[in-house]
Amino acid sequence: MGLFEVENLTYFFPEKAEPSLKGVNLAVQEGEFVFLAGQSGCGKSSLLRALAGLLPDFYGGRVGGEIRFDGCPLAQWNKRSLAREVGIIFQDPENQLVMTTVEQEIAFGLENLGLPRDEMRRRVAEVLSLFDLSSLKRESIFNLSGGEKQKVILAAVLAMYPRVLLLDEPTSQLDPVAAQELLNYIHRLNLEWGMTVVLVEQRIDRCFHLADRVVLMEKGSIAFVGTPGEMVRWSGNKYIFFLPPVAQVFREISNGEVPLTIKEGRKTLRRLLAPIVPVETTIPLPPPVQVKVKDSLLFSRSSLTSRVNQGSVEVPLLETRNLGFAYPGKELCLRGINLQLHRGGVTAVLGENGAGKSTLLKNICGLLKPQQGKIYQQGQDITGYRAEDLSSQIGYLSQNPNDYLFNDTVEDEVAFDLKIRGAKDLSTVEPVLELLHLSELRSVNPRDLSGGEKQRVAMGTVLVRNPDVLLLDEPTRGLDVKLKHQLVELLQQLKHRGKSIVLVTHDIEFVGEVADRVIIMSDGEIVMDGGRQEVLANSLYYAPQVNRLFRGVDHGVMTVHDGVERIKGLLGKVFPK
Amino acid sequence: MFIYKPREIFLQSLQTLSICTYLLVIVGGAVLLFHPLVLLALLLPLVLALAAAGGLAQWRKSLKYFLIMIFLSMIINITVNKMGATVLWLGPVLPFFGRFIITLESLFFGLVMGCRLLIVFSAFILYNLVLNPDRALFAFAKIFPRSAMLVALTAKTIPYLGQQMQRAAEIQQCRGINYYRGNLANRINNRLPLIKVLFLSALEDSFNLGESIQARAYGSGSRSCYFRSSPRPRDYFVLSASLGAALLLLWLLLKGEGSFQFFPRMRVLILSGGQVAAMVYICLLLLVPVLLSWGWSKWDYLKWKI
Repeated sequence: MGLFEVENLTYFFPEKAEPSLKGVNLAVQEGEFVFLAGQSGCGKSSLLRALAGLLPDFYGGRVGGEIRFDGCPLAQWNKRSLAREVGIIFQDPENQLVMTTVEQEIAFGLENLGLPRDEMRRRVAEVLSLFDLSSLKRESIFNLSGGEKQKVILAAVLAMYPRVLLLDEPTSQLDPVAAQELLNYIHRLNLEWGMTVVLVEQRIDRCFHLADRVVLMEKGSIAFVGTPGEMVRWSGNKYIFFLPPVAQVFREISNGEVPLTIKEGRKTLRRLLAPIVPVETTIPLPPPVQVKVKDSLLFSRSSLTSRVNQGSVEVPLLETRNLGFAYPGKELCLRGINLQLHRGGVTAVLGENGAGKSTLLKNICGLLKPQQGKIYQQGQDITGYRAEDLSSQIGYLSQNPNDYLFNDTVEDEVAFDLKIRGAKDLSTVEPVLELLHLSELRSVNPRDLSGGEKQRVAMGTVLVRNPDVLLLDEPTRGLDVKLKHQLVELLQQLKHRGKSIVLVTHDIEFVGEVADRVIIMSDGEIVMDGGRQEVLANSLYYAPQVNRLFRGVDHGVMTVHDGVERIKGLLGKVFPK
Repeated sequence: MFIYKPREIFLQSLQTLSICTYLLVIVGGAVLLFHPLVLLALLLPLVLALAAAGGLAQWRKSLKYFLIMIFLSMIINITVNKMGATVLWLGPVLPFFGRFIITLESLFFGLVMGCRLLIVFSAFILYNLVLNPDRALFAFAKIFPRSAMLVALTAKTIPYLGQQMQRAAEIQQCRGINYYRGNLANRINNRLPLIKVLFLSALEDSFNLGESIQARAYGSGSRSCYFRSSPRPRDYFVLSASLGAALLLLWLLLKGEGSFQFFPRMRVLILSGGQVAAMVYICLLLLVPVLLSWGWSKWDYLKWKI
């Protein structure tokens, strides 16, 4: 008997004609790590909420079928007992925190369970130590980073000693370091405490190999249940995006066991390529950087040189010269930024949190006014121009699409940007809707759309103005793998239309797919600037998974496609047809 | 923003009951009595308590808004109140309001009303600076479980809304909306999208917060308390002083010496020696938390002892 037994579960949200869950059957065993994958809007979150007893209890709606927990129908569990047994964590830590300090937040659930004070103190002390939060015990919640907030939520839920932990994309709002730390904790809880974990997550490369079983959902139903290895074999071309990049590479060339991690992948690679290329099991450190590029000179000079050689010197679309910025009362957080952007390129800006990436974008688009240096747009000094004055030439897309959406329909939302400029001709709305695959959703309220669709609408509000420069801040945050792939295609199209795109991101795999040029920022300065391969292949941390897989074999491999081609090429030499 | 931030200060170490009683006595005194000297006896300890809580600079910053409100209350009072006998200026006849007359009494009355408002606002600021909302939630949840959660979440949400507003305003600027150009109607109209975004986001976020609270068993039965709930000597000192001040205020109220005759002519401020003594004692009693706070920060012995 499973800990959770879901039988023919169907659920309709209130006033919806289409079910969110359709005849779901699933059993989760005690101590199991289940990875729940699928596209945005496929019903993963609904299933998780149903397991936590929140559907239909919290949202209402119609429900069919049954969920049993520990042999007893969920509906018969009283709320307190269920909350004690099943803990759930959602995406955004901001919307889960209730109290004002770390200690009190952790104690909140324990107070709700009516535990004696001594018991609460013991449990709070325990989880503070477990999550290394003791130094933040009396810290105000407002002063914590996103990663710390999510860690506090995890600690607060664990203090209730649940048997099951349900996690709904807990890392979607976190940077990679904080996300990895959280996933490590979750893995440890499963390994060392035997806690049952059901995890919904978009960072497939980070959690696919951790799972005992993978459940793939599609349109409210379960499409596949099995071990990660079985999933690799079953996936076919239709579901290949739900595999980690390493597995995608080897699935193409191997009929046997497919590696899921870099370590396993390098072993397999060594075995396959032993006759022609020696592959070390450990990833060799990147070679010393031959040309360390600072102040973006190499890329801009080389691109400029090629343009000079072609007979004309093109004025950069956008240029910053010695840009410096400080928030009121603080030290400079941007220093000496020299940057040139030309038509038809995708530039990715990488760096740790607080490196100044988003601040740089806000300076360029006019939301912040630099204290030092100048910004030129096609030779014209635009330093100090306001964002509203630059909005037709420079499009800025922020991290949270909800901040854009307030009109009643998608079409009105996109057209709004033209209407406020007094435009009578709204004919440019249609091509933008088509480009973003939003034509069918034109009459839908944008607030009712999924995260990925909202992101596209927000992008539409920017594209309809037809700006030359696009500044995108964390455009892949919260997007599933398929939507990321669509975004890659969209950015390539925009690039070929002559747009210059700058994207700030932590998503190295995405950068490996889409960027032509990569800038690494640290402590407000550009520390590396160059072509994609040049920067990523020379980096230990900022290297895509496939590049790390091939390090020491071929530095130029950035994408799954590159990897497959390279292996096939090498194998072809050994085993010519 | 007057937001609670945990710090090592005396006033934050008090129990909810002690700090609420102290503030209630001050606000109650300002609402029930309107003798100018009584109001001063309430205002002085309150301002010093704000200083002890480290909120004086913030209070001073917002003083200009309070002064505008006091000024407005004076203007309203002068416009509608024609009871004073000492006419300072005889103005024109205004439609609906009649002749515009400024009298010394109505001017002074408006000033005193403004002072009462100032006391209530300042007490609210002190409440936010020293009372841990989580402790308040526990204390009030016993009496009003749903309303207490609502108030606690509202207090927590205000700074988030501030951040959200800033973010949304930036986005709308990037879309081309100008908040600073055009006439007043245009400027208001330009802010409408911002307000819509804010309301929609707040509504959606509240659903998520509700889920999280329910999933952590809120409302599933009686709650226990993580905080130490037994009062310490410091609480007895503050409670006793507050109750003493409350008794003196009541005495003044019952004797009729807590009020002041403004109209038609102002009466003398001081009616008896007992009245003055009561006012001085009220002030001294309300200064007890301030004095303890000072001693608490100076002498470790006192800190341990109380």
